[in-house]
Amino acid sequence: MRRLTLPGRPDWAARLKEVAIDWDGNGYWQEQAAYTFTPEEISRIEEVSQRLVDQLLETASFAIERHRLGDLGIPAFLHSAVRESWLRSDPSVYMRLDLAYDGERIHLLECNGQTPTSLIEASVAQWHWLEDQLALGQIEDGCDQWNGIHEGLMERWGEASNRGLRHVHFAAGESSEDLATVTYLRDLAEQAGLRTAGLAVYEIGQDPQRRYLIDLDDQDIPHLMWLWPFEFAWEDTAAPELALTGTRFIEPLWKTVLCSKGVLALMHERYPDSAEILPASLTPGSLGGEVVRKPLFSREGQNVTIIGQDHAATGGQYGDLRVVEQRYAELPEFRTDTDERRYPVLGVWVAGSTVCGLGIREDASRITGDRASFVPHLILPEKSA
Amino acid sequence: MKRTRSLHLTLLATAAGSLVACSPRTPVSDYQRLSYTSYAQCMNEYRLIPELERPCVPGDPGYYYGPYYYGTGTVHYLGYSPSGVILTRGVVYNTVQRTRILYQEPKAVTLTKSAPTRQASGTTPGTTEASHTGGNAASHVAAAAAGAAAATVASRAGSSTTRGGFGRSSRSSGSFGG
Repeated sequence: MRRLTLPGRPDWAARLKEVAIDWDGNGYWQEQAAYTFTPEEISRIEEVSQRLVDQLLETASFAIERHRLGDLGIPAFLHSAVRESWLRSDPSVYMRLDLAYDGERIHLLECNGQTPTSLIEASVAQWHWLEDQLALGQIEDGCDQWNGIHEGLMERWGEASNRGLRHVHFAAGESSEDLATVTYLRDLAEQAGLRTAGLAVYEIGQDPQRRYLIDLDDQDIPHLMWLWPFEFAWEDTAAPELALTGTRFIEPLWKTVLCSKGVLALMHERYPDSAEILPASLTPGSLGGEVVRKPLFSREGQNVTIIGQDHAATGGQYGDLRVVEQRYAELPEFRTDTDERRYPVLGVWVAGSTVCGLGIREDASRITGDRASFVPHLILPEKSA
Repeated sequence: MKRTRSLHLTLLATAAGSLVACSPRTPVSDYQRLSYTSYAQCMNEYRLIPELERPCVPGDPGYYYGPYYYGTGTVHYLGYSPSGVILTRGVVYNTVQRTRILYQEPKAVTLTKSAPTRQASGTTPGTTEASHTGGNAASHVAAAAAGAAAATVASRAGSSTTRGGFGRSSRSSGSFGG
């Protein structure tokens, strides 16, 4: 893996706007650089990632069957509903694994099981970047990209349709980023033949006399894809509905297991000899040595502490939650052409349970936060790799 | 993995440029506005929403109109152009989190003929109740200023449906990342 510096496209901002990306300010979208991989590197990352997905799902089964949901910070009133969701095999559309990769070692940092972001960037915008840069001659003919995300997600909606899904409501909060992501997912669902409707999360209705959540036309919502974290929802006033409603959520309730960073400790418990699964514990201080302490639920790198030589810490809104500690895995360090440090994290996208593509975010800090940039990647042709 | 086909994104492409926090639904008929007895009183009500363009304009003699709005809890506001035309660009104000997001009303509409006007409660004599279920914009802004903990979205008349039970979190404002 290398970090290249190369000219951006003259119309890069317009190209992002075409796919509704308007959150590209402050250097978030970074195409003055690109990460390159050999085909062999990508094959290995793909193979390892798929194994990690299989192990994550097996661990989810273990956590549900062995009544470990409380350990993961999932509130007790949801345990039965989570279990039922798992037993029904409620369909999952996507998730993202975050990996540390230094060219040799691959380590699972965490899993974004329900509301992974940077989807349009990874699936569409970086693909447009590759096509444009090939046409401009900025990158070598024959370069490729690990990117079957769009097709993978469409297949998932097609499979859901084959299982009888006909109509899905899509909901998001109020940020344009979340609205765009949900619109993209809705676009894919419609292309797969599903009927859809949209509303804001705060517009979802509840009625104790009715089986389902309710849309703005007073109609039932049998299936709801919402870009709204379960851990936000179970703290909200309508939280009991999560367990009581007949509405099926996409991502499903069983995904709460993979939303919890506590699953990292259970994975280590299940696979203590794995080279890719770092030692992790739900008992602070038990690992010793250099560790990363993270709340069971936290976003954008909030309330994360690296304990050890590379000490770093972030503030945030999750400091009241229980924590998991994970053995510290050093991210590789790259330098920009102005000699600034960059630490990339690989985001491997998963459609259903199949890995399907890669997006990379890099930060100037060892803790990847909301100031990280998205940087496109490419696979070099065999002859030059 | 080389793609063999191009990406078709009808819905996303259509939405591009209009996704600046536009509501999935724009119930134009739900807009209303309040009247005030002084310009200062009106401007004071919307001081927490500095992005809102010209929130107050002269109305009937002795009165000023506030911005058009709909919603409670999360309120959509539209201000005025210098000539008094209702703008289609506005601000979504979350009274709980006190967040403000710009949004674009997709349709250019002449709201002045269809949207009701009522007097800000407690500010003028002869206040009349509006015929719809929308909340009181002035009270929302004031409540936020006072640090009100939460707001409940109003139910439809004759329905036991409640809304607003999901969608709030003290852990995040804007996009939550992940």
